[in-house]
Amino acid sequence: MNQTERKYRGDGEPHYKSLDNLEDDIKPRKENYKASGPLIEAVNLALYLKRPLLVEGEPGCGKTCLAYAVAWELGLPRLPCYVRSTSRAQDMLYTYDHLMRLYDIQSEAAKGERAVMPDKQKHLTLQGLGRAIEMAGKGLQSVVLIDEIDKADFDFPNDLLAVLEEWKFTINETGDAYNALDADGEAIDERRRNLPLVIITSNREKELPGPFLRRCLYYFITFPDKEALDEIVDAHFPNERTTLFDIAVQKFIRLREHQDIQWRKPPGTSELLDWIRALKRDPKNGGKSDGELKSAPLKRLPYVEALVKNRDDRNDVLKLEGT
Amino acid sequence: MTRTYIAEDTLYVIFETLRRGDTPLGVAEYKDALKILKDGVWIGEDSPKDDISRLKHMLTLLWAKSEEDARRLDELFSRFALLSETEGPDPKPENGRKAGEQEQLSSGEIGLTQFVSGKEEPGDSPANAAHDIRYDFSDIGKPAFHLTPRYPVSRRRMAGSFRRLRRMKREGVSREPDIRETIEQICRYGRFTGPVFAPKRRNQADLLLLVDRHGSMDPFGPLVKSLIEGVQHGGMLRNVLVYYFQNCPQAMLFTSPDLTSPVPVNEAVTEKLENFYALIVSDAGAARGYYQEERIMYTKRFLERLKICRRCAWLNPVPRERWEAATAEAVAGMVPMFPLDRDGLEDIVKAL
Repeated sequence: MNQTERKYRGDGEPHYKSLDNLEDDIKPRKENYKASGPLIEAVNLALYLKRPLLVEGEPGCGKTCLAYAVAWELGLPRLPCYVRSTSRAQDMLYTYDHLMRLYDIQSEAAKGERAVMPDKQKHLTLQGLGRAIEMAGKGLQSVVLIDEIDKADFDFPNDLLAVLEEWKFTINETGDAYNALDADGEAIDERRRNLPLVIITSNREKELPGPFLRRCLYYFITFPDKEALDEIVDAHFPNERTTLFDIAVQKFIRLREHQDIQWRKPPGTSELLDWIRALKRDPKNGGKSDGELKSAPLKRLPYVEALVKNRDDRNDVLKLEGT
Repeated sequence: MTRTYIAEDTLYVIFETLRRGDTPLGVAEYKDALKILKDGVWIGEDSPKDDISRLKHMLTLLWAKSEEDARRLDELFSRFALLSETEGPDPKPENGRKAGEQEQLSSGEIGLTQFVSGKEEPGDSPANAAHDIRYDFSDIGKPAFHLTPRYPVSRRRMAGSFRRLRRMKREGVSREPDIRETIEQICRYGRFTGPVFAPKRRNQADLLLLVDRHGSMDPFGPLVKSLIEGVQHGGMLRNVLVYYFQNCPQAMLFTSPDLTSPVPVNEAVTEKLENFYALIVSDAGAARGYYQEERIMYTKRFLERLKICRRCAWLNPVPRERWEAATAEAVAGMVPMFPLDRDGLEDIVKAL
């Protein structure tokens, strides 16, 4: 099948055969993810225009999983890059272990005349985006996740921009060049089709620089409504649904949207799923019955620690009236 | 069959309005929008191809770079983009038309003055002749207010200006291997004694914001708030410290914008601020045009105290023409003062 025709449908089912001979660490893995209509279109537009998709939204609304879900449905390799506060744009492409190389050279040098210079490639590791560009050069599409870009330094997004526009980079240490679009004339269109889909997430801790935003498609994930939450729960606990689940989702929404709580850290979908996991256990092991959950007042919900994770929030919850 | 069209010049009006509002957009983004439009790239398989809300969604993805932008685009879309027209299966591009503010208030279908594009004169040729386009406001149906604030300078630009306030220095724990230094050390000792580490380079610029509140500053409240937020979240500075005062800083500064938590000036402005850039945001009497000796005296005394800081400047939300003959003129003689507009912000960062 022509991989360029791959379209994202957002139902959590794999629609395309996974690329062959993928290394284990980048194989797409099953992800129960339900995407909303506008989000599906955002992903498909990003696939079509070959622009990175910047996804913002509050923590726990499924930004990171989106990239994995897209990889799973499209059967493409997933290449995550996790950004840390010290990350530089280059770290998304490759890392070079200078220190190890230094040690190796020194230990070789100690051998005197029998010394052999270690291979320069030995200390090089291609990272997510770098691997994606290498693969695209070989005609293989992939999904790259650049997670929490707002954690990094101000220069980070702008440094990344050049790579995302030109799709090439050079490894300074070895002089090797990688270019996903290394072709002329018509062949270049063919190459463009295999460019990776880059999904970037941000928690909005810092505003991103203009030129970088310009290049990206922007999508804000809103918190799912009741219907969408039900779907998400169903996707994660297939064929397990009982009335307990309905009560849990209702209670969750009532708590989350309670006007007397000024949430510092509102519970997200992942918190809801954890909570349900705790509630649905066998009553002997601490699970709760429908009646127990239904009659529990909001301020004394069982396993509320799975939902409320901030002291001020906890104090607010303790003051709530009603069930 | 009802088909929906959007004229290219309408698209351009929306694009240009967004761009002027400091949304980072360039030619490539415009071209991509045309590509979506012309190739008829309607991405979902089952969705109808002439669904205007989908087109709006596509444009939002491509052109809006924040939630505020998205709201703005939504507003522009309901103002300029049109509609719908009943016609045969053969699609023809339509001339866009511009909705006046007044007409917007009414609902239903209204014929409007034509929005004349640069190259096409109405009635030029039968194909370009003014079609009987009607604005279909029935599905817009929103009241005519838009609550997205728009300031003379956008928050994005204000934050952007302050990003250039930089003082890069190596600081903190030594964690990055310093290869150059390591090699030099090998050369110095003739053998490898271990790697040398150096701390990471960081922006060490600290900013002290002193903000005038209430009275003559009330009209600028939202603008100044947006400045403070922009600097705090997007300025990429190491520390941003905000104090508030009313009229001119006297014995007390306040840590909250409603002036309820006082801190004496000599506790707030101390030697620990020696690395801070100080920025005062106040109209310095220019809004009302007063000249007050007393105010000048207090200000002068306070500015003396601020000399502890690295450098000091004044941002005045009132335009420069109004400073004359007011306290502001005298204050501008004591400290570099700039108006709170695009150029003023660029200049003030240079002055700091």
